[in-house]
Amino acid sequence: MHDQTGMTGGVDASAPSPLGIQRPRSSGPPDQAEPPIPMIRSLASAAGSLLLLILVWGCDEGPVTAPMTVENGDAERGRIAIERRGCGACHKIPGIRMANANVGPPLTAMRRQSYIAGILPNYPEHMVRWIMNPPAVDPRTAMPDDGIGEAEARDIAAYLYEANR
Amino acid sequence: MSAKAIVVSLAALFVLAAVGIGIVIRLGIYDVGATNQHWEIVYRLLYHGKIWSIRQRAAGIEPPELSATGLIDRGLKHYHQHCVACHGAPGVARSDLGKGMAPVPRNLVQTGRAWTAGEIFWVVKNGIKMTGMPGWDYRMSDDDLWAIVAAVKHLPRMSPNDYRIRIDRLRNFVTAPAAVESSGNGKSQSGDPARGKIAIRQYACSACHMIPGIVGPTVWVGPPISGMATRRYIAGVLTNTPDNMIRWVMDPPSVDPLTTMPNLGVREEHARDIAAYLFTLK
Repeated sequence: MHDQTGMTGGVDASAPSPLGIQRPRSSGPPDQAEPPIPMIRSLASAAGSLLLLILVWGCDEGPVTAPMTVENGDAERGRIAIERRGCGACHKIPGIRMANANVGPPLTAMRRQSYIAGILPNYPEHMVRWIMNPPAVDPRTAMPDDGIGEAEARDIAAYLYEANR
Repeated sequence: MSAKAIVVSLAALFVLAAVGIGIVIRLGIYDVGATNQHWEIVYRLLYHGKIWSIRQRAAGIEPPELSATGLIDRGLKHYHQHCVACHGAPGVARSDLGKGMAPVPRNLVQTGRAWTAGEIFWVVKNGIKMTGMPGWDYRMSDDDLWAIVAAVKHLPRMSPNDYRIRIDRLRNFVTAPAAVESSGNGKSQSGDPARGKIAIRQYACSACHMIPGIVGPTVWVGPPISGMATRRYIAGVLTNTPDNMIRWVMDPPSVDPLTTMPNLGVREEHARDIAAYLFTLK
């Protein structure tokens, strides 16, 4: 299916994102109640908020265990390539200036998506293949062949997997 | 002890209890495994909560005449096809599916004896959250649902032999497929976003897609459906118009043979409602 060589055995999600994009944390301590009906209401809301805080704190889907490292891909070069190519003219892409269009699907949480374009299982080698020439994969796709070479596609793929983990 | 002191200590107790429950949940102390039985108190709480909820909602449902042989036959056919796997039947063991579940699916002979027709109808139609009992509303017409109720009410009268003979006879008895028209869908030309929201759940869309307004798992199997009203394309292959959306929802592989999204058998009126809901997502 996909090339396994050179891929790491997993992804360390606890490592800080090089782009500094963090998941939002749950909100802080509960509001202090207004004076008139003080005790019960403030205590109840404190309890409720605390319960909620405990429940959602650190709650996520956990690290992505599929190997999502792009061999020879450089995320920073990828970011530059994405801006130069104007991918943001069609896609919403985290961390890219002006990339806020809704022509293609938003490319958020790309490392968590199960499929690319609803067709290819989402693994690095497939992503590279798709970026290089989408119509070669699916003749019906609206995404054009932009003549992106393999090295550049690897960089772009690396960025997409790094951005907004 | 002053009244104020009592109130304060009660409130403090409440906070402590909330925190305690929160800690039990957050640390994963409660075993969600189906092989480990519920704590007695949890089971009682859930069980009675379920019963009271069903009674409340089934109170106003008036059953039609359920004793006609033809109706029971039709119900038994459905029952044998759709219900036996989990619930079994007189002399028929449930399949492995129905053995490992928690809560264990009821033996419906007792249900047929004890529950009112309205209660059974409500449960079959709507299902019960977190029990494994699906709602059949979008799968069957009310007529067929009542036929199943008639069958369940009749189960207590049947010996294993009665059941076997009746089912054998019904195998050769071809019923005309009843036009499926559940109450969840008034036939209408324009889609209804509110009904679409229900249809989205009834076709399990949120098993793969995150859809704003639909409470469900955090998944990225299909793409997130946020902002669908402003998207230019559907699945990267169709321009995003209501008609195209209906077409896509009804049969994705016919639009793009390569797509991973399967044909879920969405009926046209439901697809129209679903599309109407998706176009509310700005």
